Order: sequence, then C-alpha cells, then structure tokens
Amino acid sequence: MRVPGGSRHAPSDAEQRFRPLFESHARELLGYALRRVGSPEDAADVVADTMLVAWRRIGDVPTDGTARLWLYGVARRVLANHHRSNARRERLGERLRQQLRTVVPDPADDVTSVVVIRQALAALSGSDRELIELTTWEGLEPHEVAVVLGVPARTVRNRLHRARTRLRRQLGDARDGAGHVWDVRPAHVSQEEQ
Amino acid sequence: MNDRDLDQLIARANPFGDDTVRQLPTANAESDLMEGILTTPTTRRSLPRRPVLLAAAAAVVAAAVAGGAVAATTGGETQHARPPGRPYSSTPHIAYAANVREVAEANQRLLLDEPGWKITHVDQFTVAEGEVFFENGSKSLDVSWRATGDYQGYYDDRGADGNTKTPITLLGQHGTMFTYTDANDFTTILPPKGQNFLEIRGEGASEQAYRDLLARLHPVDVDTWLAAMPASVVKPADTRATVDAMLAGLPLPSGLDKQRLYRQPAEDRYDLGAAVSGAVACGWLDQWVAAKQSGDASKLKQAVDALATSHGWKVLHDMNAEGDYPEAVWQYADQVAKGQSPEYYQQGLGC
Repeated sequence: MRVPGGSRHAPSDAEQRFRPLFESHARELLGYALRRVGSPEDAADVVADTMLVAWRRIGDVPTDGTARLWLYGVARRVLANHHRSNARRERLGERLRQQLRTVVPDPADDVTSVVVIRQALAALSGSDRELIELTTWEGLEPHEVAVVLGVPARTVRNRLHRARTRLRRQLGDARDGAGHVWDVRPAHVSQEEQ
Repeated sequence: MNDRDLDQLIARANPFGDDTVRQLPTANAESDLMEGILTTPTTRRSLPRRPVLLAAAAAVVAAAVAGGAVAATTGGETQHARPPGRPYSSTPHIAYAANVREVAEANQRLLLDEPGWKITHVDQFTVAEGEVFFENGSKSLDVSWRATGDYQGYYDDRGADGNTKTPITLLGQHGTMFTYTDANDFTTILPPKGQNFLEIRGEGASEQAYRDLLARLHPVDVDTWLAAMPASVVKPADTRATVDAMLAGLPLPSGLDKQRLYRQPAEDRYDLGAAVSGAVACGWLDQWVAAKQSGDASKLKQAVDALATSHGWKVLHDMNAEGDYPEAVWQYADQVAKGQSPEYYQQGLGC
C-alpha cells in the first residue's frame, strides 16, 4: 500500500526519515501504550496517533539519539487526549487493533503480590506513577525522563525520590499484619513471569 | 527496602515486559500501520487525509478482491452513483452562506482578547464539531465544540487517570476544569448548550495563566466571529470568486455542479481546492466508467484527455506542497490513461 501516485517518485526525505524511526520505535511505543491503557485496541490507537504526529512533524523529531524520548513525550500527550469512547472512525491501525486483541496476554492472571504492587502504584498521583513507571518499566534514566516530561533533570530526581517514598508508604500500608516480606527477585526474570 | 529492591518489585508489576512486547506477532500489522501513515499528508489537514486513507483502505479491499474474497462487488464499487450532496439553504445575497451562519449561530463563538494571541488555524467547521486554535509562541489554547450527545463521554474521559477535577465558573456557566498529570496542561468542559458543548484546552502555561486566559475569552456575534477566522480560511463571501479562479482553464465535465461548490463551508484553500479539483476529476472519471461500460470510445478518449491535463492544473500544484490530494488525482488520471479501471476513485477522491 503506497501513497496514491507515490510510486512515481523516489521516497521523500520525510519518508526516508520516518521509516527507520517507525521501525526502531514502534514496538517500544506499543509496550509503553499497553502498560498504560485498558485495552489492546486503545494501545494500538496510541501507537497510531503518536506515529502520525511523528510523521506530520518529522522535521521536529530530534536526530541526536533522543527520538525515542521525543516519541514518549508525544505518546503521553496522546494518552492524555485519548478518548476511549470516541468512535474510531477512519482511524489508522485497524489491523494492529485486531491482532492485539487476540495476541496480547491477559494480565488478570497475575499473582497476588503483583496485584498488590499495581494497586499501590494506582494509589499514587498520576505524576508520581508516571515518573516511577518511566524509570522502571521503560528503563529511562532521570535525565531521560526529564526530556520526556520537559522538566529539568534535577526536578525529576527530586520528584522521583518523593514518589518512591510515597510508594513505599503505600506498599507498607498494603502489608498484612504478620509483616509480609516482599519477595524480591531479579527484574529481568520477574518482568516476564506473567 | 532500598531503591534497587523497590525497582525490582515495580518491575514485577509491569503487565507487559519488554520480552513479552518484543514477542508479539504483530510485525505485519505494524508494517501496515506505517504504510498507512505514509499515505497521509504531513501537514495537519482533515479533508485530504480522509480520501487518501480511504484510497488506501480501498487498496486493501482490492487486494482481497484479487484473492477472490469479494469479487462480486468490484464492478459495483466503481459504478456507484455519486451520493447526493448535503442540503443547503443557500442565500447568496448575504455575506456568509447559510450553512456557515448555521455553524456560527449554533456556537458560543468565543474569541480571545489577549495581546500576542492569535487564531492560527481552524479544524472542521460544522455545527456538531470544530476547533479553533489560538497560539502565542509555545503556548496554545484550543477551543473545541462537540456534539451534545458526546458530552458525558468526554467528561468521564477527561476525569480519568487521576486527572483532578475542579468546579469553575466561566461565561456564566458552571463547568469543570481538569488538570492533567502534566502540571501545564488543563482543559475545561462546559455543559452542553443547544447542539454542542465547549471544551477549552490550554497547554504550556501555569494554572493561573490558563485561568487568566479563560477569563479573557468572550462571546461575540456571528459576523465578528466569522470575520475573525484566519486568512487561510476561505470566507464564504469569497468562495464564488475563488472557485471560479480554481476552475479557470480546467476542462469541465458535463453536469458539474458549480452551485454546490459555491456553497462549500468555510474550509481553507486546500480543502476548497480538493473539493473543486475533486468535483472536476470525479466528473471525468464518472464519464470514463460510463463510457467504458457502454463502449463509447469517443467519450472514453475525451475523459482520458481531460484527466491528462490534471498534471497542469494550477489548483493542484498550489495544493501540492501541503498534502497528497493532487497525487491521488494524478494517480487516477494516469490509470485511465493506461486503460486501467480507476478502482475506488469515489472513496479516494471523496466524490
């Protein structure tokens, strides 16, 4: 499928920039979206909308190695604007929506301890949760989170410290009376346990 | 629990770890998405995106057809009668067309009275839906109106995800201000008034600055509001002359409804250009299809020759830097020049 008439021309500069950008980062964006929305279809929408913004603003996408951060910044804005009940009329990514609906595993089968952690995260403010998730789930350093959020790195470090403190408090509140000790295992293993 | 332990706990709560995401068998669907995006213009345009996307969707259907899935429908798709145009109650003696006034009259018609701020563009322009973007450097205020029936859905959505809700009185109405988790991102929804409701979103400013801007919004009368539309928006009073200029030198197909073109809503020049050039191209493509069916070689050649001139149409060249609608016209012109059926041109060009 090509741009109507596009086969008559060599790929534009924009297209030459966009293709590798998409191919390098679409899957990361999909992960980012899946972790933050309620349904795979919504995740597909977020990826489609974010990449559409990138295509339309391809000249604004940084070329200094921070394109991924720029995309996350767009995606979080797309998420903020995302309207779940809005009819997905004429929207891109229908095939991706359909496939995700059938292949994305259901996180509902998680063990109790994971559910408790998620509840503690959910109890945080949106900005606290975002800082923690960007740091831990997307694996961003504070200076990278700063780029995504458009705030100074020092601010991120301070806010992250406070967010972690509040999460610890939430987790402490969630412990049972017998003083349950959290089973901490290496992240790279435990991330995939579900 | 130190930070490392805490991070490991949080990582366990990740519902979709990197490996899980990496292993999703969605590469082909992503590739489809990328190609779909590449079919869209790189500028923010509403009308051209739709026909081009539909052309792309039609290509998918065509591929399925080639596989025999829905072969019985192909002939009919290219031979549909043109759908009837929207009804207008044209009153050409007044400054603005009736349908444009209808939009304005159903709207709360807000303008921003603040130095440094200006309307930069307008998206959509119907009674049920539209957006006016005010910008000042990196700061923006987006005044949208949406159909009353969508109110509750938007209200619930804006209040989700931990966004805070604050009652606000604006323009004498009791609305709700939502603060996104990003501290410099706010939106306010006012209750429906008539056929639509307003949402006013501000980015890049502090809450106080946002509230100050809201306070500077003021309702104006129909003519003032319409007159404030940016230069890129074709004012209805100018539509007739603009349409005539766009049509100048083009081979006009029989049955071209100029009156319908004169009554186009307040779209910008790109959108109007798409409507005008599309009407001409659609007319000739209709003739090509009919002539092909009836075996009228003369009419067939006339259509091919007329469409071949599209490569020189000024209206398309004027549009070409802003979007891909011209490419779509030229694609169909080239197809019929080769004797190929211009499949799904009605969807592709928005005929």
